[in-house]
Amino acid sequence: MPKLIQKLRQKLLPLCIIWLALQASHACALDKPKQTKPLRIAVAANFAPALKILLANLPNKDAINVQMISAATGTLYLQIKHGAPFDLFLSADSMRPELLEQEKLIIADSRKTYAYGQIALWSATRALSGLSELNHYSGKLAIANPDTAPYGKAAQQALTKLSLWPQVQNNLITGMNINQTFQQVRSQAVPFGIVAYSQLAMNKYQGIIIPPEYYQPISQQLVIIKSSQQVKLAQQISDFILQEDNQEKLVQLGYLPIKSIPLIEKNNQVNTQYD
Amino acid sequence: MTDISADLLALITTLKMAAVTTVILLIIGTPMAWYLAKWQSRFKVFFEAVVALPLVLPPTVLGFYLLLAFSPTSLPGQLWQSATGSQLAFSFSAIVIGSVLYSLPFVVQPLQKAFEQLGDHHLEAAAMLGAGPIDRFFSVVLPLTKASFITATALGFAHTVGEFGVVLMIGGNIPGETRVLSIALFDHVEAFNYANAHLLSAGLLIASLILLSLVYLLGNNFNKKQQGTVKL
Repeated sequence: MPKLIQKLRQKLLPLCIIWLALQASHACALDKPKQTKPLRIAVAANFAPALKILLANLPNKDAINVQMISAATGTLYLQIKHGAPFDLFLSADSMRPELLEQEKLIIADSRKTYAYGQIALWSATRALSGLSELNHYSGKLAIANPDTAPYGKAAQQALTKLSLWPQVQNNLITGMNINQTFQQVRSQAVPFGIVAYSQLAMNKYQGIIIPPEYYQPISQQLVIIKSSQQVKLAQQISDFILQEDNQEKLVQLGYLPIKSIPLIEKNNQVNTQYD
Repeated sequence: MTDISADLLALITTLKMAAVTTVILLIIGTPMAWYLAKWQSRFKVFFEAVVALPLVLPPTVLGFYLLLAFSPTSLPGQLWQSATGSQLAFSFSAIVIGSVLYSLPFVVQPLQKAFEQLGDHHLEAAAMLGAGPIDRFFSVVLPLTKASFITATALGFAHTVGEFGVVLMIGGNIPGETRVLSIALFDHVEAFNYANAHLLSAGLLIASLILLSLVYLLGNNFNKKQQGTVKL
């Protein structure tokens, strides 16, 4: 038996040392963020880079410990439904925030549109002259899944409006979300794709913007989660994103600011009159 | 927080998750493998199938049902909350439990095979000499199946480090708590930080390769040594 104990000690000692080292390093690494309670912003993957740029100018950013958690809108919605400790949720659509509101999981009246998404036709293999390039195109076309991704739904609406849907329908490569579609086109695996214009703007690629009157506005909404213990702070960030100069910045990042939408809706009406 | 320190935090979380998971798996996986190896019943195949289930189940599916189970509104989630006082979903404990389930076959299967091949005569001889069950395990079974234990540990650890789907669902990607390397990597790709993504994947690839090579080298050495003693 003593031999056994000695053997055990030999084996357990390195393990213990590793364990202690891990604990120590973990404690050190966590030391800073623990000073203030983190404000957790769950953000749709497509808006995460833009949010990061906006938050860099937050007036009291050193006093607030903001943690950004990005994932697909659907995943974040599911997690919030099951008690994820998030304070603010920036969705890529308006459907999930509406659902959360119906389920009474958000602070009353916190649901607001913070940006409108735009879609664009893009190819990573060559420069495009216009939407007309699609007219006689018979190859593969990448779009996000119209059933689950708001940008995919907009792409489908635009293609239908352009009377191209029957022609391309059987040659579609549908991505799980708009980021996957972007990767598919960027890697040149698919010659053409309809992606979010923000993806092109942020990566300095050239594409053809599809006019907003060809599809229903992609309104991206934010909500403050009911279980948040920092509602005031979340409200402050929400106001910050909606404030005029930040909305102006969104234009450079490929989104349409919230005040632009009455204009689009008017255009849509004009269009339907023409039809 | 800069990207580098955020990645470092993710690395530490990953190592911690993989280490805790592997230790738990060895503790619960060893008796499981032992009973599966020695048990003779027609129901055995059913339990073997249950252990192998995480191999075929898509991780996101496993993650989705674990999320439902760990939710504060479900029974397991409530039991955990009343026992520990904190929420189970989106905590470090949640991703460890998820990883234990997800990596279970990688630890149990090699051990079970090793125990099956281990004849009864060594154990009987040890019992004749008066060794109790625990002593028999540590001084007969363990030395004879050392190589399989190393394989099981390496596979369990490595598989947990590479885990993505389960942790994504039940973890919630919280820095310092549930954001692991694979998710940090995915975040970089999604945010177009390709330089960071390349750096992180290269680091992960090289580190995993070194770790696995070391483990197999160790395993080979043990095997040779064992063969040597048998010949003597």
